[in-house]
Amino acid sequence: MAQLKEIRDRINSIEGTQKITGAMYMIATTKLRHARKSRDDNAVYFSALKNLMERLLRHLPESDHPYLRVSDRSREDRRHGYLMITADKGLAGAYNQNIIKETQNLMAEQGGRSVMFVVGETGRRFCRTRNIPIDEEFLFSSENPSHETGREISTYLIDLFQAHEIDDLHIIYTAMKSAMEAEVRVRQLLPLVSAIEAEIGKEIPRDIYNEEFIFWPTPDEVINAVVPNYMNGYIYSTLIESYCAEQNSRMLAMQTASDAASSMIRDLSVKYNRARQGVITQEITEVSAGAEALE
Amino acid sequence: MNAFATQIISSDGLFYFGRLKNLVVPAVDGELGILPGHEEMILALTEGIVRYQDTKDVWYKAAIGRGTIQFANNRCTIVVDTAERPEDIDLNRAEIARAKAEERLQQKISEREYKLMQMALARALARIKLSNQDRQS
Repeated sequence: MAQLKEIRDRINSIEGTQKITGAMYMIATTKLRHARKSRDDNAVYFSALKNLMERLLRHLPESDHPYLRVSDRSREDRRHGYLMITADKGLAGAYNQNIIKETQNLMAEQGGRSVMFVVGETGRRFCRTRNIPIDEEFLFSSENPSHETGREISTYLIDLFQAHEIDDLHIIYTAMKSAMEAEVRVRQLLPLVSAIEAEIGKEIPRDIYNEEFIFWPTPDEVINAVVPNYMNGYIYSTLIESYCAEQNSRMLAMQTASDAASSMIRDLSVKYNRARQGVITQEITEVSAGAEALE
Repeated sequence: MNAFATQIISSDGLFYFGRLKNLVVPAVDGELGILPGHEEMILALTEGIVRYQDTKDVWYKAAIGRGTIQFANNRCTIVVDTAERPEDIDLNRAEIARAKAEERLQQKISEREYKLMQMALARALARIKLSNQDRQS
């Protein structure tokens, strides 16, 4: 009898959990729909922004502008800034873990000193428990990304870069590789580097023939005006991209959880029925044995 | 060569795509007119109003946020964070944003916040200006 009750209790508790994961699945699905729409709307802008910066960098004459200059601090002394975009909440599968793992790899690879800028509560909590120092004034939520957030983050980081509080800045975010698949991406934002050059690992010669561009009034002035805007567009787009990936990942995680709950309930029901049948069989045996003894 | 292909891209999608005869944009140091066959250039844009004339000689206006314009091979690409047609502007919202920004600018705030508020104020003013122009015409 005790075993029967135990199984019944387990089934009830799993059913309760399944209700929660089911509700979370529904919420994530709705949020994902919105997130995917704003992500798709933003996609043209994001790629145009990247192309424009590539073009600008390719045509720029040799320049010693602060946004392009590599810090002269020694390797051990260098302060690397990391902008890590995580979720506010957990239960999103490996979404947060992947970002954190990638950031840690990057930190180990770069050495020097690290300054962490974390978007989202989960990442912050992780850093606190591991005693990784983070910028405590940098408090931004990953929920509902807006231009305002993008602007605040980019001016905050550019100010620190200009004050030499950080020598470079990497952004670690999650991009949607396809409609269902997400991928962690790392990109150096400051000092500016060409993404193509970073990929092939060498510099494209500057003296090959290209269109002659005018930079009015001077190239440095153009960089001064364009870069902050590029930064906030880039950060805004990555926030949108990450938010979409987060909802996608949470939706998949909740679906898996609900499916797992269903199969557990099925298995337990079989067990329960078997145990119940066992009890009944035993009772019948006992009754008939008793009756036999009386004869 | 009496027109040039133009794309205006804002962060919520492709805002305008077509051929233009004339384009006036708010550059950092004043307005800049662009005609077909313009020299190759990359410039920064500031909050303000763009005016453009399509091949049917109709003029359009839009309020834009900060961004960049690039002209190459008789093709023009404008990438801005926001772009709105006059009829899409919420004048009340813009007025509220302006009041809020002006109030914040009066107070003692950090330099960073000052810059952000200045940008917010410029965006609000551009919207209000365009919306008022649209009503009068």
